[in-house]
Amino acid sequence: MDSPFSHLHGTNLIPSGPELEELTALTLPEDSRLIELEKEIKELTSLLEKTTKEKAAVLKKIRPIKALTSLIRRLPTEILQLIFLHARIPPAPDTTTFRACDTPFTLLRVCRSWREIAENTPQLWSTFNVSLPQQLVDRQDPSKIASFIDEVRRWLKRSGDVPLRITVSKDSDSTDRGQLLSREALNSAFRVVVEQCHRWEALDVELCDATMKLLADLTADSTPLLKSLKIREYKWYNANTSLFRCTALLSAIHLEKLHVWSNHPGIHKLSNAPVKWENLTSLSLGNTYVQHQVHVGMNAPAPPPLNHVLLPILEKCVNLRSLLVTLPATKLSRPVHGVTLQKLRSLNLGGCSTQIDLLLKNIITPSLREMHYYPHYEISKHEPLPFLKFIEQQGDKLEVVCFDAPSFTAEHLMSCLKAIPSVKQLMIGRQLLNPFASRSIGPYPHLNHDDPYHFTDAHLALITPPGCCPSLEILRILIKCQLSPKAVIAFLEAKTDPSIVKHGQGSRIREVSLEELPDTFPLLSYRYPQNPWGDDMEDILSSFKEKGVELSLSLTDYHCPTRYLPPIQHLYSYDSDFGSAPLGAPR
Amino acid sequence: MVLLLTSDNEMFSVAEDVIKRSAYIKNMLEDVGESDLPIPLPNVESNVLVKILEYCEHYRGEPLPASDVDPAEIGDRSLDIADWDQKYMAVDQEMLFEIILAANYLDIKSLLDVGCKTVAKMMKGKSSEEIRTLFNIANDFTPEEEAQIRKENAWAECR
Repeated sequence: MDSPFSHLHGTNLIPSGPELEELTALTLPEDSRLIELEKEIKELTSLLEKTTKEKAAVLKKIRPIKALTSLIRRLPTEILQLIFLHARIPPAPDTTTFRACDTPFTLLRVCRSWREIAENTPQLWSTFNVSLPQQLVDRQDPSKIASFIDEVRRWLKRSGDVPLRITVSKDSDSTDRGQLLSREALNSAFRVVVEQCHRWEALDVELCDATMKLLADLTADSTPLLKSLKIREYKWYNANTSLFRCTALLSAIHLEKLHVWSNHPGIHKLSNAPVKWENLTSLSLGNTYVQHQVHVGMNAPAPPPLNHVLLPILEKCVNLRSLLVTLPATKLSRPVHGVTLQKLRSLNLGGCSTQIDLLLKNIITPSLREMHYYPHYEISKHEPLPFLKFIEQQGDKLEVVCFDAPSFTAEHLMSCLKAIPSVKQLMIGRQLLNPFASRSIGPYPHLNHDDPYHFTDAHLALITPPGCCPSLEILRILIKCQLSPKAVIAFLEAKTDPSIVKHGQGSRIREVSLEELPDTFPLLSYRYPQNPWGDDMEDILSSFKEKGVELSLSLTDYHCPTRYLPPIQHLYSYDSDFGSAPLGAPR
Repeated sequence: MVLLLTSDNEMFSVAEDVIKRSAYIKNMLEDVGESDLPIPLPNVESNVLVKILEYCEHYRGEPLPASDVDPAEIGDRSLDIADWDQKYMAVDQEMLFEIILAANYLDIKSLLDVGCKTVAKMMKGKSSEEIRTLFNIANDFTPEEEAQIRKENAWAECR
């Protein structure tokens, strides 16, 4: 607003009496305009409120009519069934899926037709996690427990006659009264499920008081459909361990996948179990804690040598396609003879590295495509050469290579990369999804700390087209990366160049995860004024994301006194994005 | 080229390798052989066919997915949908269901799968009432049926 006082705006001068009068006169017309505007706003607000109310009334009126025209009503039953199956919460280990707020329960309460469709889609009810809802555990109300058992019966009834995949979640062995009630409730629920054991296709069970007797009472022909068996046993060593009382389950005629997770050090006893080893396509044998005797109880016997335990079992598994073992530290002994695992495609090794090396020397795996190598460095000295030799001999066909070998030198890492020309998925560093990974705290006296175990520009350059590993699609480096932006971008540019696929020179990269980049790496949230890439780095990385590359780049955000970060996660099954069926989780 | 005639009488000329993602058209072409006559699609409107062809064109040359999936395994798989598919499916509800119906009619399994996954994702984490509101579904349970449902769910009540 122009005024004779413009030159005084923004100052702290005090106007004189005449000036005040002049100022008041100046604002007078605008003041009356302000009053008009406020009146208009009031009217418009009132109109808005009225219109909003009217809109709500109209919506309420037309909603039933709109509902009639809703296209979801036109979907045929078979499509709704497909949608329902997709909406089903996938079974996850160690989580309670029996919740009224989850599908498929919510589907039953939408409308009559959805209820009818859901009730008549047996596959929707084929996967069942026998776990107590939390509110039952908390309240211990017998009437609610009875209602829960009824629900279990209804669930099984809705599943019709389709094969069932059952998970029995953890129970407590506490003698507390509340826990006893919970155990009884779980036992009752499981009893209902056992009535349908002739339909079990997969069973994932933790042996505990609530489940053991029911499982031990099964007969050999009780589970004719059972294909996948996962037995977990967390108790300390007991000579009468319950694992070997499950003979009926172990002898299931169609058993293809066997996953045993036990604290029992004497897995050699399994070789005498009535398992039809020749039928197995997937085998996992693991001890939760393999490193210290104390973890299995002081009375536990020392595990027998490898050749007395595992090789005789493997010899019988002529159809094995995937194998996961954790090997306890035992005294070495000379194997009698090696074993050829003709069909083995996936091998996952953990535990004592000297035992792993011994195993690698004594198995021949002509079909191997997937290798996971994760010795527990805290229990034995690691020698890099046996693994490297294995990779050099059998690595040319490997498509998935995941390993952690902190005793590798930079040169060893180079040799390893050169020996895996067919690799599609490469992961170096701690194992993310190892069912038996121990929570180590280090430091590891058996490790050689002289040569840094880093992934460097030289390593990345080696796999940058037209270098080694042309088929690489997934790269996950979880060890410290001494990488420069220039090398990373050169790699990404080369691996996203359309011409490499067009000319058959390799595969496009789909995922790059570099978890421990140096502090100076110019990531989005860590920009430094002196960073030569400046804000451009964000644009450069975004352009690769737009090309469909999953990028996960992060800096080292902790102070680690050693260069080696130990395994940190306890998860159930590992999975790869290629090839072999995952081990462990019953399907 | 293959001629397609939509329900609103629009003619589309489409490359054979594009439309062969539809098992329905593929079988028809194999049964009838080459013909100048358009294939009538009485259940598909032109605006929907445009979307369907956009999908087929995007996946042109890529191998057809495995035909039948065990229904028991459907819910075990991730609800992840590829980025492009997500953008493709970012349409209003009416078009989403039209695409699903057309994919079903034309027997394009991968598209039907993406459509069903998209709807399933919309439902994920929602209560029954929220699902009703989302899809304009009326609650047509009688008071007696509602009482029965409440009784069945007594185990889940926190009171």
